Amino acid sequence: MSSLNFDKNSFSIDSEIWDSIDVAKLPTKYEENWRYLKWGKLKKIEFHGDFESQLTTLEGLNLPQLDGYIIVIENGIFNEKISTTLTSTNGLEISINENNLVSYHNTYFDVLNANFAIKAIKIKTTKGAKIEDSINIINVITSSNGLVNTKTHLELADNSSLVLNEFYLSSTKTVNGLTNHQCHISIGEKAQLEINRYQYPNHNFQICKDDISQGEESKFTSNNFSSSGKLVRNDINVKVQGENCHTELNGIFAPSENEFIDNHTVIDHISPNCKSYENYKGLIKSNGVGVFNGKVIVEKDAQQIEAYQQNNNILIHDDSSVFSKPELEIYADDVKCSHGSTTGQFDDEALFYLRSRGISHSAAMEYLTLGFIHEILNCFKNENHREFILKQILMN
Amino acid sequence: METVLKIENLHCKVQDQQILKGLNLEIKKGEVHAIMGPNGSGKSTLSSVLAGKEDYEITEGKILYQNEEISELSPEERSWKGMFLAFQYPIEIPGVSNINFLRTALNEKNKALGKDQISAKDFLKMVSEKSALVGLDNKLKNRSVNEGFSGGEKKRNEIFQMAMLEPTLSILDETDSGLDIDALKIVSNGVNTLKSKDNATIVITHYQRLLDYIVPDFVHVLYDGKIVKSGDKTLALELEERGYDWLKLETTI
Amino acid sequence: MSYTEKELKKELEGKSYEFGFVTNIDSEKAPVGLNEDIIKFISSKKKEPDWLLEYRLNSFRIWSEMTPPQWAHVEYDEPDFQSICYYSAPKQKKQLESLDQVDPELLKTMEKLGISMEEQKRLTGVAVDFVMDSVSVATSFKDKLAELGIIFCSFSEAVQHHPELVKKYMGSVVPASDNYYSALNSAVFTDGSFCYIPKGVRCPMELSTYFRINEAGTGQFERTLVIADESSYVSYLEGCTAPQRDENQLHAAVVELIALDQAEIKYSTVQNWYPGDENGKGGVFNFVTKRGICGYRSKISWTQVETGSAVTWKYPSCILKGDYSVGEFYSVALTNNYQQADTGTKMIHVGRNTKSTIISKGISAGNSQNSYRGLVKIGKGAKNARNFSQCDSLLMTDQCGAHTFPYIECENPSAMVEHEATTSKIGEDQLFYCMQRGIPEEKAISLIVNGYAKEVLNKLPMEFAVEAQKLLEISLEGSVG
Repeated sequence: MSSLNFDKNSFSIDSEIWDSIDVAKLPTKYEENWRYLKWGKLKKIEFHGDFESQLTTLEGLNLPQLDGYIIVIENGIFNEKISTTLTSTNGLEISINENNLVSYHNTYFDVLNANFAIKAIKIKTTKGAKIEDSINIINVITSSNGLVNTKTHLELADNSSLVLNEFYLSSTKTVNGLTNHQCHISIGEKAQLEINRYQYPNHNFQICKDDISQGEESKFTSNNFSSSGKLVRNDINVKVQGENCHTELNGIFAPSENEFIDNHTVIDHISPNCKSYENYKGLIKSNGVGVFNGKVIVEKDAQQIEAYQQNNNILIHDDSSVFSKPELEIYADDVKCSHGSTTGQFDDEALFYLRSRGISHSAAMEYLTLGFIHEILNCFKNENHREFILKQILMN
Repeated sequence: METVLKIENLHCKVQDQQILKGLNLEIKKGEVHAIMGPNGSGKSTLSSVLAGKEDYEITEGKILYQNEEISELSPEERSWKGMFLAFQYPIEIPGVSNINFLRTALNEKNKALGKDQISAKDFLKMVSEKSALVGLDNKLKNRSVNEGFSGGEKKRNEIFQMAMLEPTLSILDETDSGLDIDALKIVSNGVNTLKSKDNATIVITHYQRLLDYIVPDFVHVLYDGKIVKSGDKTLALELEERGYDWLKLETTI
Repeated sequence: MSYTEKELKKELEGKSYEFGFVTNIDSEKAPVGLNEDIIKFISSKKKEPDWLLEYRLNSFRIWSEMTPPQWAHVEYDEPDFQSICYYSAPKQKKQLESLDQVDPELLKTMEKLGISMEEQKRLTGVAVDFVMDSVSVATSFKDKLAELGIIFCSFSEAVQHHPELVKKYMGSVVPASDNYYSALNSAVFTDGSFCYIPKGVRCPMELSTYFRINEAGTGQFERTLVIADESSYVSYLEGCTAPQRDENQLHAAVVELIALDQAEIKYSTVQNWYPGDENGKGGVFNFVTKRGICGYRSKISWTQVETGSAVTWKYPSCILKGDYSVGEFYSVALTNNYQQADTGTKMIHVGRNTKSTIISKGISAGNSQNSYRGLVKIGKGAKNARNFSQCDSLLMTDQCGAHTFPYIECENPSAMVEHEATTSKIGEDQLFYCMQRGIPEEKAISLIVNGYAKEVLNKLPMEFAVEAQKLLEISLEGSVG
């Protein structure tokens, strides 16, 4: 009852693997971390696993201008024709390997990913390598009702730095596809990683999980933009292992009609003298539903931690709703931790002020929207990408 | 006259950094000593060490207060013995009224000295007398300790507390910082009124200005953790005129 | 005066839980265990009408199907519900007519608790109902209140004399099926307090109930039902203590408040159940369901000072059903040693223009775990609803934990919900400042903590505030990190 439906013949896996998938169950609303999710829409679909690659060009896909390396994963399969050549020079190695990573079977989606994600993208830097060109991974689904499982493995050696842009989207006619992505990231000492994630899979579903481990004096920034998706669930779990680390999670989520975007983050401070900042803004339209559940843990003996967590939400329409759950779990005493959450609407006064200056209602709303998200928008350093985000937000 | 405080060859560390490096000072009853010096010379460290702040480690030397070595005493024990520190940045304690705070402080002192608790009537009488001294607004007395006070109000409140606790040795740590001239006069006037032949005052300051109002008997220049020059009030004027640089030169030679 | 170390320790130990005495009163107990027969026994002992027995049995069936909640941030060995005695009444020869007939031992107990009824009768305007081991034993001021039409009596009396009110409202805010412990309570409750304020009446005095678990091996399962009819006002106080015992005792109460249109109920609790010893042995499991429902323009205000219990699981809540109704929750929760508290509130906004305020101050000391868990729910129809929450945590040692789990669920775009929380340790600068002024460390801590909690303590009625302040001081003893 509480699992997905598959057209089993379309998947090329052994029958005993099906046994382990069949016993796994979708999480229920009684599980604290999944309490707001409803699987109804997903359970109605019969997913298949039979894909062929269709894309011969990136044109026609809704993408901003891209610089640097481009890796296209279409329906979970590396599309070599429209990707840049894989490299292993200048301190950077990008390869597509058999997925032989150790997986944690915590949830239903872990089980699916472990069994279905046959290949993984592996990105490695060497010690001290500052990678100038950013890496763009285009994760696109072009097959309706397809179940796509993908995996990325990122390993930053000490003192290296890297910028990764991830785009999750679907081709225009694709509906009801499910992308289940997992990413394992280890950041070495003094290394710096920035991930910019753009999710707009439209009439499709997406489950995304990142497990990050940070070494001493490292810096991790994750900027997230989730503009659409029938159901999007993001888990970002950061284990701050080393001392003197900096962790930053920023997000904009903007579900609109019949969309559901659920963000779960955990920042686990294991070592002392670290700082973490988290800032998520929800802009909920139509009957969209947004969830923010951020958890900061300060473990015993992880003294001198500064952790800030903020979630602001704007409900635009009568049917919009949002669930905000910022959590602090503190086991050390010499800490400064705070969080805040607000939910409301755009200031009527401000709207009136703008309109009294002759600005149309819709333009005024755009101004206010921009004002609301600009703090996060500015975290995305690439100007083209910022414009792209604005366009997406204002279009909806 | 009787010696209140005698500091001998005091060396002191904060988080592995040596701040005081052999400081000597003797203060007798009835005297006012000014300690001046450039930023980072150790002025505030001296006040914290005298008051017994935990993070300060004495590595060498002695602090004799009324002929008793006090290095091992807790801050409250020093307070009971009549030592008072007017903080450069008075601390805010939300939800604790000024009056309640002082009453607790007085009662604890009386308890430690084996005296009777002060009656509510006597206490309130004392409060109104002493607050008049620094013109402390009545409202402030019932507000939380220093919370939402302006800079000037905080400093006045410090002197008001000093008046209430009747210390033998008062240490005024940069009490003039952040005060306009009117407030400076009021605060100085309070200090001067409280001065007697039975108590002594250390005025720590950066500027000569305060010393126009609280006239010192001695002026000491603290530089690099030591007193490098002592003199009378004219030394302060000289410092005002010439700055500290000439002293730095003098000491390095 | 000089102490030996041992003497000092002994004195402090004694002081740490002042209310840890046992009263020697003959009591009438039900056989240990829980089944339908026991429930029938309780019901018949209390000469209850059939509908109430039916209610109990139905609740028992619901409970039997349920499992204890797991989501709270607490760890404990689940009580063995079959080894508890569900009925323990102080044995009384006959129905009491006045206070003068109360067992002298019982009066002594009350005095030790600081409830000298005689004195209270004379001095203050507080009417007291005293509940020991779930049975109400004495209610003062009854006559005076009756003149105004106010009913203030034990729950059992209310069942006998005002069955229509009990039947109408009992379970209307906290249904038996609400949760595991409310179901258990609905099956086995023995007594509690009942209060009804008629239309337009402003209750002239504080109404107060003291709860006490006395017998070993018993649980306390009382129910409180407060009904404030239209445009009435009542302030209600609740205090609790229990003897010092090695085994855990269970307290699973249900409190229901009904504030009809334009009525106001102020409900204050000082909870000081035995918290267990400094090694975490013994102590009360305090699993309580408290909830109120607000009519049009009515107001319910919960104020709680929680210092006791080994494990606390408690969320006094407001259902803001009527338009323009107001809910408030002010809480100080202090945990020391091995205490665990998971407490907070639920503000359910249903009506339009409803408003709620949450102020929670947590203080964790020793090896304790202290969690705030609160829900603010803005329903679809709750146009222009407003909520403000402030949840602060203060940490006293590096062995304890302070946690904040707010749930903010908003389904109406015209609502404004704000939540702020901070966690920090007690200010070292503040401590040094106090000590420089001659205030010793322990005293300075209690001063600072009381200051920190002031916003909430100020919401308590005067006489309670003083008691609460003392309680915080005692509970913090020996907590210096």
